[in-house]
Amino acid sequence: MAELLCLKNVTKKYKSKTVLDNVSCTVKAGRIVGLLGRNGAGKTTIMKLVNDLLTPTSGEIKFKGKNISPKSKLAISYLPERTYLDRQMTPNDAVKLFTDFYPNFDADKALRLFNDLDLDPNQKLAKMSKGMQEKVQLVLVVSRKADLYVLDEPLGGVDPATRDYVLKTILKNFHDEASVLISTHIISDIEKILDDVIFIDQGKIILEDSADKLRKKNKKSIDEIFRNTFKVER
Amino acid sequence: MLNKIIKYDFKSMSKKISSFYIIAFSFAIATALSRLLPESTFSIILSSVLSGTTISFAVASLLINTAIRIWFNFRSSVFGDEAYLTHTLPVTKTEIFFGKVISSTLIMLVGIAVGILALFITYVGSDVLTKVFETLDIFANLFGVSGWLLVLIFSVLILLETFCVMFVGFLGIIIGHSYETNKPLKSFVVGLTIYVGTQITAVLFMLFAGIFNHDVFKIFSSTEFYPNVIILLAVFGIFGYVVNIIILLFCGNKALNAGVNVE
Repeated sequence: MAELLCLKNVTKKYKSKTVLDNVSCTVKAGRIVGLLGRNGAGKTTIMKLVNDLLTPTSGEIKFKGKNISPKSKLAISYLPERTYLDRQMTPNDAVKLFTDFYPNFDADKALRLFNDLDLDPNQKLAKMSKGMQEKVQLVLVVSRKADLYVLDEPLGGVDPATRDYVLKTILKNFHDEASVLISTHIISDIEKILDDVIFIDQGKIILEDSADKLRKKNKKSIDEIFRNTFKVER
Repeated sequence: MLNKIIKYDFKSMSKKISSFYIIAFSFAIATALSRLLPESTFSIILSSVLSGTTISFAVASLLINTAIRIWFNFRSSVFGDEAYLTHTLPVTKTEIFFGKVISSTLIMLVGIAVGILALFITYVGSDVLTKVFETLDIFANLFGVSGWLLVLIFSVLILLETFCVMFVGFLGIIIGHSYETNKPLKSFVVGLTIYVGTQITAVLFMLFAGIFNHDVFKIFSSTEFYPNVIILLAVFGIFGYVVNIIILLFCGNKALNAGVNVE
């Protein structure tokens, strides 16, 4: 399987604090990879580095063998853990913006998904709740025909009733060769869709394997392995 | 892609600033209409209050409000929440930087045009405009050039100084955000330091004019008025600001291309 994303010896330091320490990992084409770890483990830092929002202190990040560039940004669809659209915009405005910038954006699909999620495409984002704004962003991200979807806590602000729909939407809307790098605390919800998992703790990769292999080896679910690995000792 | 960045940035900023333009125009029209009222103490007070408000709004929207909003917009879209969209668009950092530079320049020009137009509406039909033109004629005769050339030279000088201040802010924000703590304060301190540097450069350029006209140095020691020297200094000042702006844009683009750290 071809390597889509490769992080090689990536370190990110803030002053004296090392947030990522010599991290190396890969995301192969056509795989759904769970990036799992406790709060502050470095999951969001990895995702921000991949999306050129942070500059690594050392190491290299390659997408399809090349450095992150406008070309790779076209092929990576990123859902950050915060709302980033101008709050004066409506979902329709956002669709126009995405259509203008991303040739791989499917506006019809986005409008259909807005409708499914009961989102008014003409309502200003400022008038929407945080959860609704997150749904708008999720729709925009999955409506792109990208090679890699980087989803940072996509279920965080979504109510439990909508989580299934969101997961189905994620799965339904990307093509076979595409990969998903997903970070979440709600492992039980995404457990069934994961192909590979990466466990990260205190800025270091502590485990990288196929989800099936791990389940067989430990005779436990990924959620249970996660809980055991990151158990807080009192 | 550059034109798309300019389009969306201009649209986003003009939405936020347009309410100030509407207020400036409303007061300008109200001032002009108040002059049609029969002359009385009330109408004189009303006209003074309205014209005073128009002037403060015109100046506020002209420079202060527009400049502050441009800097806030730059900070928010390059280092704030909106940066999550900006830096993930399939564009280069150079396109992002120059897109912001061009859209901000356009917004500033619109702000200046609105301010001037509001002032013109305020005083249309009054003797203020006549007096302005008379004063301009006096200065034109004094300087020995046409009134329009005089306006052009000093307008260009003021415009370049305004753009210089704006781009100093951009560079200050980029460098200030390369630090890990107190980013807004550091942006301000760095910006202020760079601004002092640009002013020194502009003055040095003006002094450079002394090579071509020795009267330049006399203005520091004599009380005599040298109109040709003032024009020469203004022209060299223009060169100084052009050089400053080129350096600021080059450094700003280089600093942004060195990478960002969005919180």
